[in-house]
Amino acid sequence: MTTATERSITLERPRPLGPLIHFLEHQFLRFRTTFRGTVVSGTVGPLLYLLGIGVGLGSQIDAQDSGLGTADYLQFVGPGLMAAAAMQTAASESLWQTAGLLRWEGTYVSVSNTPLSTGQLFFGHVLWIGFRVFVGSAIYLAVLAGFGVPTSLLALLSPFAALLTGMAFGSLISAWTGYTTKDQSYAVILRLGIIPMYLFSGAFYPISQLPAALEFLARLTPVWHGVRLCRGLIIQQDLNPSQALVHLAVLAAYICLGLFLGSRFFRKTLGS
Amino acid sequence: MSAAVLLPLRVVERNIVSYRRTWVILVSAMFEPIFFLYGLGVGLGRLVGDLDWQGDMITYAQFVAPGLIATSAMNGAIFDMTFNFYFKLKENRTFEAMLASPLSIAHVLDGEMAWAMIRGGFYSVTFMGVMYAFGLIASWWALLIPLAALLVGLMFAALGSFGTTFARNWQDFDILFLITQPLFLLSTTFFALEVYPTWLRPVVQATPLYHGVDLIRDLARGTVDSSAFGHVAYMVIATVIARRLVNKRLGKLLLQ
Amino acid sequence: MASKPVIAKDLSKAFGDFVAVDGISFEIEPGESFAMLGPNGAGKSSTMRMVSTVSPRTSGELQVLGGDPLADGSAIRSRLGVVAQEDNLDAALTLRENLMVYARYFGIGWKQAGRKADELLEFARLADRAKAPVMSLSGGMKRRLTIARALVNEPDMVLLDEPTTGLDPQARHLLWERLYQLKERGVTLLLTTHYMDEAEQLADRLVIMDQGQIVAEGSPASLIAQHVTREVLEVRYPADSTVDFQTLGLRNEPLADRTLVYTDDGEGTLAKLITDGHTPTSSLVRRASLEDVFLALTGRTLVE
Repeated sequence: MTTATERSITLERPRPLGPLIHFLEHQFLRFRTTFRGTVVSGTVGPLLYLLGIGVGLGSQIDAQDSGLGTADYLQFVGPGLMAAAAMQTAASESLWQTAGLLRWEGTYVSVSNTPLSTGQLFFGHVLWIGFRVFVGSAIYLAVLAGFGVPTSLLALLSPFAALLTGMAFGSLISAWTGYTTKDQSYAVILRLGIIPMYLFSGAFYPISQLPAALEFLARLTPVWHGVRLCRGLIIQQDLNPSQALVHLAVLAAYICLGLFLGSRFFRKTLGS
Repeated sequence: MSAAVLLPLRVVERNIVSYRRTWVILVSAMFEPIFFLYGLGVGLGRLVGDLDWQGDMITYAQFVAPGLIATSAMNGAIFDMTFNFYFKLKENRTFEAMLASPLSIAHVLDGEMAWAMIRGGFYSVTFMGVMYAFGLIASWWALLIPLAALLVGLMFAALGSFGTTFARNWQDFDILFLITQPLFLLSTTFFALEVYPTWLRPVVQATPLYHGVDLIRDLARGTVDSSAFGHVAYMVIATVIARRLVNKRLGKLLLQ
Repeated sequence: MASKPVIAKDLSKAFGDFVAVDGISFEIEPGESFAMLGPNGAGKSSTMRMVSTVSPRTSGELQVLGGDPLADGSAIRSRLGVVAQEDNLDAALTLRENLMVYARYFGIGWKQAGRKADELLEFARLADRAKAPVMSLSGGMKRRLTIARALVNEPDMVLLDEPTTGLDPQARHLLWERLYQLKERGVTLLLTTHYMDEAEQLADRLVIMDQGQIVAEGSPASLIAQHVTREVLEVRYPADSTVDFQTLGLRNEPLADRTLVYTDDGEGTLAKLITDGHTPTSSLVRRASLEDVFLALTGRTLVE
């Protein structure tokens, strides 16, 4: 070992993306132990949902009469649920689990002492949530294909739309988790944020059935844009390229906002 | 009062003290039924139309609301007895601190359960109020709904805490949703038992939430019959057995 | 100039209205073992976090390993090893994985990370548990692993925040031995502690902090020589006794349950008290410690 005197003079700048890649590696390694559980719950969950809501409840719904524009209810609700599930996954990853990493167990505290910057850490965190959502959505798409729902190869792009939906919610909600130490607020976020968005964002029925004010609110939520993209890609229902671009832009804007807030709040939490 | 009652009360007291500042949660809980009844009743209701319930034609909101009460009793109990329970068990070590006092495991557990029930009772009474406001209650029997919901909550508090004692990390809670979600979706909450093929109906009838949903729907519609005894018996027995098992598991986890 | 690992000048940190660190100045020499001693809330940990670049300073100047923590955070962190006050090992990974994953953050290749991990597990005396989950470790083992983890990048300086708080005596001694070994290798150590014996064991030089300020600086021996006498006589008297040390010409510090008498000859002073008819109910003669220095400087004890 050389002496400290010689070494302390030359500070080298680490490669800009290096630490971010190592962060994702770290998450992969953590994920390994729970991967099987994720695949199982990612398959069985949607299967049951599609059976219960799509087939079971769907049997009570006459799709032609109700103006859904699809052959049956399963066709309508299946693609919408992909985006709704992306939101749910992202929300559950962003609350207690994130608080665990950031505060209770301190895994993020320890990596903040490496060359990784807080901005990279938060971006990596959100990317990781996006990846989890992507894996879940890809499995879900396979289940949907088993039911014969997708109508073209464009459907293969839908997990990417879900990924963006997941990153939007992941970044915004994780930002909140970074901001507050009050973990009681997490239940409130689920109840007053996620559940209503789940019910009112066009996954289960067209938002045109809602009163005008609610319909307007629904259009503002990230999940509605995700639902529109997923449905458009999987069953090619009224989505032209320019509409798709608008939806993508809105999701990207939400992600940017979440990243901006989240890296600030994480920096503050990790520095005190 | 004996220690068996008094000491669990200590635990309840501690929960209330730490809960006092979080009235937002209680208020938010009142919005949940409104969201669900409005979102599903109005949104899906328009798609589904009216349904047949024991000879009466009822709206979809009338059909789904009792199912949602039972589900919310389940979810409330599961929430308290899984996430919070795990947090206290593993991250925060509240239990270990409590055990350093004269409380025994059974006391702590009874206290936690009692607390879950108090909250659950609050939810279901609120939900009933909302149902009444939406005009979804058709009988005086409905006054018994909070009791039935309490029973549902008690059963899932016991079952949920049993499951939680096996959790190794937060990721394991995925499994929890793997169980509660199908219960939520398939226990005749959203559509009648008759929708299932005949051979599948006994399977549905064997699951815990079904009994809560069916009992509460009968109470709300005033169509109570002898099946009510079966429902109640099922829930009581499930609660007693699960509670015993939790006690055993906790003893293993905390007193080694 | 830049060869000093840490140069702090009028360094301050405030959280809102609360001033945690109030204009402190100190310098650490290369290869030195430097301690910050003080009670909880003295501002030691806040100083640590500023040096470790995760917490921005409010005012003053700070140079770490020749860089500015605000501008060169990432580059500085790549040359630092940090042991936080609370164990923050990754419970989802094994011991070896904890070290390897951490090494990767410093740009170390997988193969080399594996070698480094094995070497450090050996150093921490945990080699036989390489594949065990972190949760199975005792408090002392976790600390040793955390310290091993801080060494994966062969840092120029290691920061240790309260390294032995909460450990039993045996675990503490084993830890001190490991840290002493690091010191021997020429690694600069910066540690905080509220145990005076720890500071005496490990520090070449130390600052005593109280309420965000540095109240004294020097080597353990020089601080004792400067602020207190060589020996301390601890005496206990019944509550109604009226011994007046002041008129006896003895420098003393009355505590709740006993009185400390500062003297260069403890036995002699005790004998004199007895001949004068002031026989204490119990007495103890010991060497003066940093605890006494702190008491003499602030009028308060270090560990309450």
